[in-house]
Amino acid sequence: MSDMNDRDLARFAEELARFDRPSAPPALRAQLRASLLAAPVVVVSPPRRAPFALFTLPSLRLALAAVLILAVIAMAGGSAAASSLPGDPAFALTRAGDEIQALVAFDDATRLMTRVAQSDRRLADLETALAHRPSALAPATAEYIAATERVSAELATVLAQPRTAARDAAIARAAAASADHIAALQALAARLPADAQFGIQRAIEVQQTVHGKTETLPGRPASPAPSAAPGRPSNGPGRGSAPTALPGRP
Amino acid sequence: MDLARRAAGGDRRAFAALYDRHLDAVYRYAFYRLHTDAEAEDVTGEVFHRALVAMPKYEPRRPFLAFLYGIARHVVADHLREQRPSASFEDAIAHASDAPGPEETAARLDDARRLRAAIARLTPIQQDIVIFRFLEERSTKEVAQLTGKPESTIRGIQMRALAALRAALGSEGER
Repeated sequence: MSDMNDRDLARFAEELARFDRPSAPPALRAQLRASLLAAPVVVVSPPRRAPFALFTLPSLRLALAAVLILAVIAMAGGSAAASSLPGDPAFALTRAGDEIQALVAFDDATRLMTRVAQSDRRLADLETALAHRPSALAPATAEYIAATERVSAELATVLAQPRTAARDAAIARAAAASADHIAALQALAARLPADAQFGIQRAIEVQQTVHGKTETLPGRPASPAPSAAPGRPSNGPGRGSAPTALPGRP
Repeated sequence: MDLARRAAGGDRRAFAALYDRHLDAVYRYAFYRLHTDAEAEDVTGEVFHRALVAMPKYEPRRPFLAFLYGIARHVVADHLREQRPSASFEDAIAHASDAPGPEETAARLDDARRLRAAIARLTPIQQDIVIFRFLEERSTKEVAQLTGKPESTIRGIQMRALAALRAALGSEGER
């Protein structure tokens, strides 16, 4: 290629750099962010034990039975359960699957991760209900609160244990998820009708309790949980009420 | 600890911060490699969802953007394989977006779409090099890392790619 051509091309390359750069549309930015934050968490499996070591576990029979039940549930209604929302008959299978997942967790830290992942899924259910099926909003809120309370109970167990890398990682994961959930719930609250505010404010309060517990991790910098929904009084309806008072809750 | 390490450890807020930082770069890559804005949006979403799943396997010594571009190149290639034959580029330009913006924005986007149509006439490796080297203004060394080709190869291809792009833009302008 001649010098003349090279100079022309260099000039052309400079012109290219001056082209206006398209950027992601705001709607994509917001929706994709919300969907990434609500996506189920990938939990890294704990290290594999030697095959014979399994037989020394006292809960082996229970775990095997649970796995069998899980397989039966998966075969019977896996796809229906996967696409079901709280309030659907098939959602009972989802809940049963969640309980078995927690039951077969190797230790409390893994169980906490599992419970956090389940609460992520319940938050996604809540967002799906708001977007596509408002009639499922109340049961979805109740299921979300129940899932968060299970995280809270498991977190209390893990916090009481001596520090290990796995324990601290699980608590850090719960703390991160909790902060994201509070932000997501506050965004949801802004879009909800007045009669659904009771449940969502209660959900925010429960999640703030979880976040408060994670602040007790030694060495963790104090970071206040996001406050209650902007523009709403902190002692709004639902504070201190039992979650059983929620509409749609069994 | 940096954001990518924290994200690899499961910190979703760290991943969200990385998303905020790199979304536009990934979107632009998809925008220039694909035919329509809608496809670019779909692929951008797919890239970040795949990145989220792959985070536990992320190697922190590698730049995070290179990790994202690696996923983006695969997703774009998969998408193009699945979509073939697709709508013509004339259609893509004519129906690029259903949402008209202010005049100035629309004019700027029209330029970007004309450039996209011209880039589509290049070979896939030329497209990558034009996007990374001249539109994203990455160094030859970075482009070599992103594409897995030696720097000398990049330097050779980039001149041919520029010449081809200039010709393609010329013929786009005559339409």
